[in-house]
Parts: sequence; structure tokens; C-alpha cells
Amino acid sequence: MDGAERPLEEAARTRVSVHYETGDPRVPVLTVATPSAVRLPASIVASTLPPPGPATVGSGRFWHESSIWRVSRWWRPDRPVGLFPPCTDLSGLQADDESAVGVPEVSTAYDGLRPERLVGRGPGLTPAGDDVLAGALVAAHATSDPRLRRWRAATLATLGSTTTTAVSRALLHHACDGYAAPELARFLVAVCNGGDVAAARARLLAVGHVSGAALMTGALHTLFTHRLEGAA
Amino acid sequence: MSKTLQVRRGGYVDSVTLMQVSKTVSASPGVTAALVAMATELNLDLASSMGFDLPASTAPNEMLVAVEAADDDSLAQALDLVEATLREAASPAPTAFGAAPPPVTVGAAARGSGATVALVSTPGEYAFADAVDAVDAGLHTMVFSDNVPLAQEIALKRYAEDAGVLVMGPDCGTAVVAGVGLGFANVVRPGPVGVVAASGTGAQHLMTLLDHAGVGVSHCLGVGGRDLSADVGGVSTIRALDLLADDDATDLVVVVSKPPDAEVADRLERRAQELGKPVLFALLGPGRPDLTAVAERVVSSAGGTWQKPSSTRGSVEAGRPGGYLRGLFAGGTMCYEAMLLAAEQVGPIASNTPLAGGRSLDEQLRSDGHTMIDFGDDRLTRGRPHPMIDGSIRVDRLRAEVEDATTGVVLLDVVLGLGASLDPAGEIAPAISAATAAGLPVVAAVVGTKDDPQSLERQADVLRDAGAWVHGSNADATRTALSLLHDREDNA
Repeated sequence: MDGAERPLEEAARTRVSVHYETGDPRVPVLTVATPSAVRLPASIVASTLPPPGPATVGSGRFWHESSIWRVSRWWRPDRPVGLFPPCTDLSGLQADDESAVGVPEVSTAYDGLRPERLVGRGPGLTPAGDDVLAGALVAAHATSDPRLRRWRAATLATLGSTTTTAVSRALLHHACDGYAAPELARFLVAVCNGGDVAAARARLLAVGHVSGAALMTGALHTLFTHRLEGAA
Repeated sequence: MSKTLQVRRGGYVDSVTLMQVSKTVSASPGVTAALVAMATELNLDLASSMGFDLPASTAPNEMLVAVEAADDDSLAQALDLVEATLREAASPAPTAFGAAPPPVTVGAAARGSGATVALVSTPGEYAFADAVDAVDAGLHTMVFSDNVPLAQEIALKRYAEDAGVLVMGPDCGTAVVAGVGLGFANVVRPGPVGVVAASGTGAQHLMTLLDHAGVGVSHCLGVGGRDLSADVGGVSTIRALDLLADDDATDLVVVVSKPPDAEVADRLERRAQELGKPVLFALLGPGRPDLTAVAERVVSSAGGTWQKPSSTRGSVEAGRPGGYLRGLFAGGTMCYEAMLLAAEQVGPIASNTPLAGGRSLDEQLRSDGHTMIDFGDDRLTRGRPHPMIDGSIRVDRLRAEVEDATTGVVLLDVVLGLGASLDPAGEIAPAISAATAAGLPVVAAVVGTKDDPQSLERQADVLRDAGAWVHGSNADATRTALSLLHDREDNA
């Protein structure tokens, strides 16, 4: 927002948000989201959505054909850190089969997560495979999991050669740095620090059609398998 | 006459402090006008309307110091006073060594504090961002700010609905949550009545009438004046009903509002029937019971005994011949209710907030026949405090009405309680004395309780001593004012 003026191309639009491609590798997608939308880390939160068509961003403003929006407040994207995976049995938290339709299964082995097999897998604005991977990456960042380095490298390498949606690409880009939608961040904090896990789980599962279930699958994979290091 | 307008850089001071500085400097000897404010668009307009020449370009983070005085000496003294009061305001409050810095966002304040309710009162333009932050933090959120765009209200309330919290407002002036008053609120006894209010002063008046009859209030949840419109759809009202349904202290619920949109009314009606607790609707409108009549019904439903609100006679027994009724209000619902009652008797009333079929006043708010002004309206509170906090704009208008030969009777409200001026009756009493001395009767409705910081009894005494007719009920006050109105041919 604060940088030089750049043109934006509309990449996707839902009832509650519009996603623009920026051409900037550091922030590949800028989203305009109403408060009810799932808030990706690079989002302008607004009460109404801009009309279809190109827009421009820069110098603290966002504008399109009919109006100019100024930043009135910055918000800080959620980035949970310093968490410890709980020792309790987490299997009860897994999404049931019905809410996890289309979510790729992930091996329960320590080395079971394969970014190259997940990127771009599944239908939708953010394919379920990407959501699983994003959930795993955010959880790994939050718990300082040693696998993060490998997963991150594999994810970035795969993104260089595999096609997925622009929104998903942005989601993974931010997940590599530990940034998450608030629903995922709160779920991780609740599970690791103790809290109203049932409520946080319900809020996370309500994200998208299967996105919430997929993010949760990935996050639980990280928390569940971390202690299997060295296991045969 | 000497005047100056200075633009200063490099120091931000909040608007409430600056309003106090402006007030102090305005009151110093020889000063005819003063404005100390940040150079926002609004304040630049205000300075320009006060007759100051504006510099070619300013930025909103610069400070305007505009003073007009009778002579150079007074001007110099006034500028010294600006320095002194600003310096005093800028000195930081002492904090303990190693103490955490105070939080700068609602979310940061909420984390770890155990808070459950947030009160947002930033300027309307910015309130949305802070309110979203509060809802993000899982707080029930009262938005005191007015001038919040409708689209933002809708988006905010939908978001809060998903998050399972209540948004009170925007432009929610009054709430009482478990005995704690937020915004403008009277000190009322605890009791079984839960109030859901789309009207702030309407809720205050209802609660004070109940308190007078010995019936207390569990909570009063404001929802904002637009909540029951078709656009917003009653989202907050329904959430508030649900919260009161789950509240053990509440036996009976009252919804205070102007008549809602028909579809929203149906939805409310259905929700009310399923609530498991009696719900009374106090919907103010043409041909409907006034607030005092509603209060009487609530008291009997709650098993109490109705106490007629107090009333005392004033020193002037009849209106000035040929004059019109002039209503000067701080409370929006007080004004609305008075217009409803008066219109039945004397026909359309001119107002800045007219009823359907009423005439709109011009920009200067010049009186036009029977006239009532709501000084608390959004358009009149931009850049200045609400008249319940600072009544000077209304005092000036009352003095002007005394001079206006077409003014027959003056009707006004005096609202007490937390958040309101510490002596509203004292502020307006000299102007009332001037009016009654000139043969112009003044009728005052006092909204307050004996436990309010200003004390109902003391404030009523001050008004009575100034010669006003004093009523504890706005409807009674309006009827008295109408009865004093000298018969006009065009009233027949």
C-alpha cells in the first residue's frame, strides 16, 4: 500500500472479497475483504467491495474508476509464534469424513508431508492440497518445527514449476513466513496453550467449503507428527 | 479588533483536550472568538465560518490556533493562555518505572485483560476500523461514534453476527450493562426490566420513569437508530433479545424504537414470541402511546405501582400572544416525541429532523412557525460536543428566541446522568430567567434520577427558580407547552 503506484489485475471475486494480482513477488496478491471474509495476510478490510475492473494501489491509497480509498488504520496479520505442541491425543480433533470431503490424506509419518504432491491439488479458489500445506507450514512456524526449512524450500520450488491459483500462491507465500488467517491462528493457540478448542475448531471448520478442514488437517499433521522424529 | 490564525507543526493533541483549550481561551477577557484545533477539513471549515482567512495549504496533522480579540493586549494574553493550557495538557501522566506502555489498539487492550465489552468513540470516519478490531477480539462492541456510513454498519453487524457478539450502535449514546453505564446513562436501580433501544434518549427517559416508580433495570442494550431499518434488518436487536433471553436477571424485555420496517417488524415479532420472556414493544410513532404511557404499562407488567412523574408550575402562565411553539432539544427522541404530540394539535412542525409531512429548516435553522430543533442531530455535532455535554449552542438559541417576537412558548429538555454536563440546568437557567422576565414561558422536561451525579431534585429546583415549568415526563411537558400556547387563528 505504501510503495510506488502499481496497477492491479482482478484475479478472483467472491461474495465477500476481491483478489488482485500485484505482479510483486513479495506480495503476489492483494485482497479487498469485508470483515466477514477470511482475511488473508495482505488484505484491505473494507465495508464494501470495489466494482469489477482494474484498480491501482500505492502511496497509502487504493483506487479504481469511481473512488479513492485511504488507509485509516493498519491491522497486523496473525502470526502465531512460541507455541509448544501439546502432549495430549489430538486425534479427536480431526475433521470427520463429511466435512473433509476432497481433502487429500496425509501420511501420519514424521516425513509424511510432501509439498510437491499437494500444491494445486483439488478444486476451488484455494485447492484443498494448498490449504493442507499452508496449515502445516503455519503450525511448523508457530512451533519452531525443524521440518519447516525443508517444507518451505520444497513449497517454493514446487510453486516455481506448478500451476495453482493466484490466491493459493499468495496463501502459501505468506504461510511460509508463518502468517495465517485469524481462524487458523486462534485454533493453533487454543490447541497449544489451552483454551476453548471446540469453539476455535468450529470457527476454523466454517472457513470456506473445505478450506477450514484442510487447513486443520495440515496443522494437526505438524502438531501430531513432530514427536515421531527418529521413529522407525 | 485584532485577530490571528497560526498554523503549528509537530505536535498532535487529541480533540477533546483541544475543545477544552478552545473553551478556556474563548472565555478569557476580551476574546470574541477562539478555535484551537487540528487542521482537519472540518475544522478548516469551522475557522473559515468564524471569519478567519485560511492559509493556502495545511495538513491535518498541523494545529490551527485562531483567536479574535477586542484589542492587541487581549490577543497577546489569549495566546499566552493557549500556550499555558496546551503545555499543561501535554505533560504526560506519571507512570511507574518499567510499567508496560498503555495499549494503543482495542485488540491490544482486550488481550489478557479479561474485558468483554469495548466502547468505540473515535470519529465516524475511523470507527469502523476500531469496531472491527474489537469484534476480532471477541468483544461486545458499543459504537458511540456517529456519522458512520450505512454500508459500514451493515458490514460490521454481519461480521459480529458471525462472531457471536453484539454491536451496539453506531450512534449508540446509551447503554447500561449489569449496572455499569456507558455513554450517556442515568444511575438507575437494578431490577427485572431489560431494555433494547434503537433510541438513546428514549431509553434514558423510559429508564428514569421506571426508576421513579421503583422499577429497576437489568441491562439496557442500545442498537443504534438504523438497526430496525430494512437495510440493516434488526441484526443487533435480535442479538440483544437473545442475550437478554439468556440473562437470569431479566424477567421482562422492552424494545424502544421508532416503528421498524414492516419485514423487520415481522422477524422481531416472531423472535419475541419464541423468547420465553414477555417482550413489550415501545414503538414511537403517530397515534401510538408516548414513552410515559409505555413506562406505565411496563411498571404494571413488572408488578410495580405507577408513580406519576413530578410536575411544577412556572412563573409565566400564558404564552406570548400570537407566538408559536419553539422546541429546543438535546435529546433526539425527546424532540421526536414532542413533535408527534404537538403535530396532532397544531399541525405540521418545522424541524431539522422533521416528521413525515413536516417542513425542513434551512441551513441557518431559522424558525418557521411552530419549530423544534434537535441539537444532538449528527449534522449539528460535527466538530463540536453533543449538546448534552456542552449546552452553550442551545443557550444562545434560547436567548435569540426571547428576542424573536414570533416565539410564544419554549419547550426544552434537560438530560442528566453519567456523561452529561455536570450542571445542565445551571447552564441554561440564566437564559430561562431572561425569557420568563420577558413574559415568555419556558417548559422543561427533566430526564434524570435522584442518584444521578447532578441530582434530579437539585436540577429541577434550579429550573423552577428560573421560572420554568418543570416536568419529569416529556409528554407531560409537551402537553403543558401546548396548553400555554396562546390561541392562534391558524391553530384553529
